[in-house]
Amino acid sequence: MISQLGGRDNIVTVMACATNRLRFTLQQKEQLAIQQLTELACVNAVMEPQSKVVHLLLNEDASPWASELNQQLSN
Amino acid sequence: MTSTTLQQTVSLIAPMSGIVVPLEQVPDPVFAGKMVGDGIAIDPTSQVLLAPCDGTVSTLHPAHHAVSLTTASGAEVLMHIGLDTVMLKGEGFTPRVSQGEQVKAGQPLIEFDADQVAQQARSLLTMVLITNHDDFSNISLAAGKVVANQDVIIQAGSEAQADEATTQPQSQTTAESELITLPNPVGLHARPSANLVALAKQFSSKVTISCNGKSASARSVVAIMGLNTKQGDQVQLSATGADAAHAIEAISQAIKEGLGEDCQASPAAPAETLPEEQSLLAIKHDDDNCLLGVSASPGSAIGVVTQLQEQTFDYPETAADSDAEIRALSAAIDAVQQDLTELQQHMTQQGQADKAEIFQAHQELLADPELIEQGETFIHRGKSAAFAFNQAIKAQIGVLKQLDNPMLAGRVSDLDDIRNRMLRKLLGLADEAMALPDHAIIIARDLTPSMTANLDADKVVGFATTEGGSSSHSAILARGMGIPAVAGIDNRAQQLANGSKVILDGDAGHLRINVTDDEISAIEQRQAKQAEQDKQDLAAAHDHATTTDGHQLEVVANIAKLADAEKSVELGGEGVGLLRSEFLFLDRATAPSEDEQAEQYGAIVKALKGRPIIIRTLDVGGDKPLDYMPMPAEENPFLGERGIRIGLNRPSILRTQVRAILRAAQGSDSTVRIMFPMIATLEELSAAKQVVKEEAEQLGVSNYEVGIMVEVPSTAVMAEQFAQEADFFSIGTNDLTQYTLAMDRGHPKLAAQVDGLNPAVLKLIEMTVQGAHKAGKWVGVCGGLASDPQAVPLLIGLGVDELSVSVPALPAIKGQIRELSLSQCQALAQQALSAGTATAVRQLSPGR
Repeated sequence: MISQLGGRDNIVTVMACATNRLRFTLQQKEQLAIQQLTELACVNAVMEPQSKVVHLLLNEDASPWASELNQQLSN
Repeated sequence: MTSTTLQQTVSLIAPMSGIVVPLEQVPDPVFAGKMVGDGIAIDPTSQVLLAPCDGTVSTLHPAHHAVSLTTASGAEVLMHIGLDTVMLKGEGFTPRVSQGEQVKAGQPLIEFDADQVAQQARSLLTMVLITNHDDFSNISLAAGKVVANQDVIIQAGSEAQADEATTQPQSQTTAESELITLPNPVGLHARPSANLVALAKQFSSKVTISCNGKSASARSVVAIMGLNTKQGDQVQLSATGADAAHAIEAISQAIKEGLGEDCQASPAAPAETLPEEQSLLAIKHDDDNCLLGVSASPGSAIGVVTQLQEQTFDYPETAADSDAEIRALSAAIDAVQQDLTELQQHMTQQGQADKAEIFQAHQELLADPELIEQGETFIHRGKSAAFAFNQAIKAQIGVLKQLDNPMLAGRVSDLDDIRNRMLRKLLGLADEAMALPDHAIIIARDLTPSMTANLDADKVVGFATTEGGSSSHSAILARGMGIPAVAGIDNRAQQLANGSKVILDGDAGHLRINVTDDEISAIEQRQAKQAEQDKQDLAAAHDHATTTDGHQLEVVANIAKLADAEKSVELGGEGVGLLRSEFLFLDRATAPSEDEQAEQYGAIVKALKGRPIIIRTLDVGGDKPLDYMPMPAEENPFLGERGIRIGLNRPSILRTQVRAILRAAQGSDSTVRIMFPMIATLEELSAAKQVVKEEAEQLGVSNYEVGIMVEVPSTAVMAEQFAQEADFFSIGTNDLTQYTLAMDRGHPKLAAQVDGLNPAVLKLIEMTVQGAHKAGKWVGVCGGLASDPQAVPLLIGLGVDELSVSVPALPAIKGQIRELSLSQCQALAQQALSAGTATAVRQLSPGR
């Protein structure tokens, strides 16, 4: 998932919101591989509500995902 | 359902792109349980809600998160963006249509900022529901991914309601509820409405809910939401049918209980819903003869209890002839308006503008069309005019009492007053006559303005009310009459026998009961002694204030205008320790010019006949802005741009004022001292002082000094450094105390603890004196402590050189100093510095 968002360096923040959404803010949107993201089993849909902001609509609670990702990104 | 029903269909296209989620999986029981309606939820990937069909916008929720359409086929389609989004109060939502508008399928209804809403709401799931789904059959729903304005998401067939028509009419009864105040923080939005509908459907009776002059079927979520109710609104239920009474009872109860919403825990609920608790810091009183309240007007009085009974009224609830009652109501309103106009004129003629204003306000309150309309509504329901008016005004009082707004809560007594006037008029009763004994201390629940207007001011010596506060009418009137008043007094006061002797202490806020003649004579003796003392002090007012061991203090005055300056000289003032220059700046449309200021300061300097004067530069802040100098609202005005900070940020104002003060000093025998308020850092002082230096050089003035107020702990702690720059210090004890204890001195719950005799404040005063004296500078005190007889010995003992007191207190403070010895004061001050509390300090120093 991280690579499809353009790699660790492209991800500025990750948070969970609205229960099932993983919200990312990105350095630049060009490196986003929307098609591949959508193909991930856990991702129902991808939304770009603003430039450099991406919501991944999961079919479950996004909070565990956010904490796991934050951990991976900080390592 | 029978086969004779007429079939109609409704077909909805996706109002947004996203993933369809079955309603059962929506994490909200109201939607999941299909209580609002049947349909689907969409987890959106687009940010505009489009019309899913042609129709009319039947409701647009004020929070702009929900909208409903009515189609030509009669389907009611509700779209609700997100869960709990009503709490966002419209933030992130932009409506593109308005209520009543005709829309075409695909037309934008609401735009929303998905990113913003997602971060604030529990979910973005958007429900698309047919709310009158009972009227439709064969509802088929889409699943999976849908694209806005393209995929069909819901199809349903409609059947005319045959079941109701075939129901045999049963014994019809009607019932009506009382007015119910809505506890729900955001009114009847989707969730409570759905619960209401679910409950209403359990009864066969037709139930209607009305609010704000509109009514809706209790079986329609959309119609109920269309009432646009908010918290505190009063709703009324009416029902027709076999089980009308039962329906009303059950639904009323459910509304009062919040319709499944936790109305207590909501952050929007007014704090009033929490029971009052006694603070752990409350002063405990185990003296049964002392009833506690809060000070509403200062002074003390000895008098006899005079209970003011509230008038009770007796009238029939119903009346046969509604037209006659309407006429009676209208005539009574006219007559009362006439009375109020006369009272207003009478008060104006007597020069009592404040009372006149109150009766003017009453006229406006009585002219409220809603009040009259409500009254008439009740009359049309067969009620008597008196009952109807009482109900209508009671509803308004109820709303006011609900609001967490002390200003509006004060209006309750006004409405009470109008109610009594109206009822007396309607029932043909005379105005209450009040025969008062001499030295009456009035005890009442609250004094209505009419009561106080009728009081014989010569006989009343004080008020004690169980309700109201320091801003109530009785408090304002008592202060105007110069008599003591206590508000919020212990309820036991109302049980006191008429004529029993009591002592009302308006300063401490209590009422002493069961007083013996000995106690009364002791107080009278004390008052007589005080009067004798005052006489002696006045006679010696022009003598120096020198202690018994030969230490002389300078006793000067705090003034705000020319008349004060003249009066201070008369009462032995040795100069002015604080001229509050705000008088020149307040209540006007433009800033005073340099010439105008120079003239005013010059007149005051002249009136002092060579005595010194300290003029403080403009000291205002965001909490008291000037009309011509708009200041942005600040989150913490007491920690914001105030005092010298305004002068530094707007140098033109400071420079103009400094020039005007220096011009007043030109050619005068007085030393004119400029003092900067609210100095917290050395940079502030240096910058402000530079302005004075430049202007003084330009004007060629040299008989001036520059000093600072010590109001911020940092300045007291760093007095030694400040003394290198400042010629003198003057301690503003009120602000210094508030900033030291971090307690707002105007806060009703904290004010009692904000005592300048707190040892922490005394320590800061000591530090200021030590720092200043090391550099050979002097220290004055111009705050409230300087006029407090309990504080005077301590301030002298701490080494303060000058006391600047309120003009009337000048003779007494000078008299007190003459009775003290410096060495004893010094010993006392050391004891006070090591005390633990302000109370302990006050015990050490009982005053004169």
